[in-house]
Amino acid sequence: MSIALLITAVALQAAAAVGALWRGAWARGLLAGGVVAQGAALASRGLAIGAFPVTSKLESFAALGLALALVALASWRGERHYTVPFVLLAACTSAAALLFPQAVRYPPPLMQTIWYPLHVPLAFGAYALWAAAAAAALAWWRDRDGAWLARLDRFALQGFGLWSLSMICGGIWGVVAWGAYFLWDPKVIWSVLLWLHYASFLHLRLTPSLAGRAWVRPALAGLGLVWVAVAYVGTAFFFGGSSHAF
Amino acid sequence: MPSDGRTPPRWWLLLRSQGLGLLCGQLAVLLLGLGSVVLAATREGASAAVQLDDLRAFFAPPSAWHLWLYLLIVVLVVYGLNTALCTWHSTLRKWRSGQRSPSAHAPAVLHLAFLVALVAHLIGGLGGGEQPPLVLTTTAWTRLDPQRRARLLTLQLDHHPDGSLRQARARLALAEGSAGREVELRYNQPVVLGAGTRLLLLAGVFQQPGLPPEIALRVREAPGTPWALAAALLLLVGLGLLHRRWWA
Repeated sequence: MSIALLITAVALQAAAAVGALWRGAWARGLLAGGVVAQGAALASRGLAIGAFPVTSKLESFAALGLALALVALASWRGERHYTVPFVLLAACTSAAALLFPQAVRYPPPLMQTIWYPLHVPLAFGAYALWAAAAAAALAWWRDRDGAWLARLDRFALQGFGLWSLSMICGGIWGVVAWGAYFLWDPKVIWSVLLWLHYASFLHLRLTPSLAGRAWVRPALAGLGLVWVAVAYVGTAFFFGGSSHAF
Repeated sequence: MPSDGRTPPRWWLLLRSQGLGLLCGQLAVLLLGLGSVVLAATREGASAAVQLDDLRAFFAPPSAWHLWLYLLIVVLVVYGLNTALCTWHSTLRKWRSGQRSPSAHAPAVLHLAFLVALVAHLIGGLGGGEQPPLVLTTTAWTRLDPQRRARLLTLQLDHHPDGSLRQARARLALAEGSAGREVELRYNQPVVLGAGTRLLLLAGVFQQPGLPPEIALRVREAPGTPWALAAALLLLVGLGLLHRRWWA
């Protein structure tokens, strides 16, 4: 049931990305349909495992796809250079969920805490907002409109706020579960790295020596998305030995 | 600190320049990225002793593999100094110009949170530690440290429909000197001692038919925890004060 809903969501998101190429207002409706289907898929999965559904790679990618689609929906623009890559990223992330085992797996005892379902969705919200910042950077490279820089700054700040809250929840979970708010673990190291990257980013606009170099913020927003990809996918699949499965 | 009325020296201006802060931030990003790769590659070798948030293992003995961390410490010291000076200078300037609203000082609160977090990592990394896990049973007392002993009273296990463990609830008798009390221990619910600087953590449960139940207990020294909590609270306050800019 939840897999059929997830496939429907992916199809709707992909159709929305194609629709956005023609700047069709109906494309936003397709994306909204995809968000509803994906939300239903995750709710159904949550009922099946009796826990907040971010306990496996399938659920994790589906939840991140939903976060991306939600932010894309909320920040929808007629400008295709912003919308198309962003919605496509949401569709690809959601589709990636289907590559992982679909069997229901119950979460282990260490995931039985309120801090976990707070920590992960906040992190995914931050990832989605930083992806929006990178998409706004792409749009700025295209038309050099200062409004994109303002949007980019706002997305980066909002993502930083959510990421900080996520790190607080993750740190508290770390203390109650492992006795340490920080671990020398690839995922945790990259979490700190992301915080520092975007903390630096937020100071760019205020740095006198960078006045007149507008390209720096879009460039670092793009680099930030690369760091997000490494933090989310790279540390789970290529570093080995992480306490985080994803 | 250079006195008012004179042009400050160049080194002073550099030390409290935002450009230096940006440079330190991006250098820290690169060194952490490099460090994550090195740690993963040397997990069975030079970094085998690195556990949890420990910093001492990087120096016992020093290794060329850990050069990234030594450089990171230097960068973070400069970063911390730069943040402290910039924050002081900016707060003073705002105060003198009559900006008294709390939201005007949100960045200063966030910077303070960052500095306290650095202190937490230093204290936790140098002062934290733990011994091998202890086994607690219902049949005998186990000494946790010179002042404390513990004994398992009851163990209740809750399972998922597929038989896998969902949660464990252990009741312990904890004797501290001549006083005693009962405490409950679960996964994600440690017993907190000493304002959070010492934690008793559930590390495993063993229940076999016909045998007394046992649990594995980790006794962890975590002196950085109160500092980290202070940093988290400051971060929350700073983000709260900043909320209008979130939507601006």
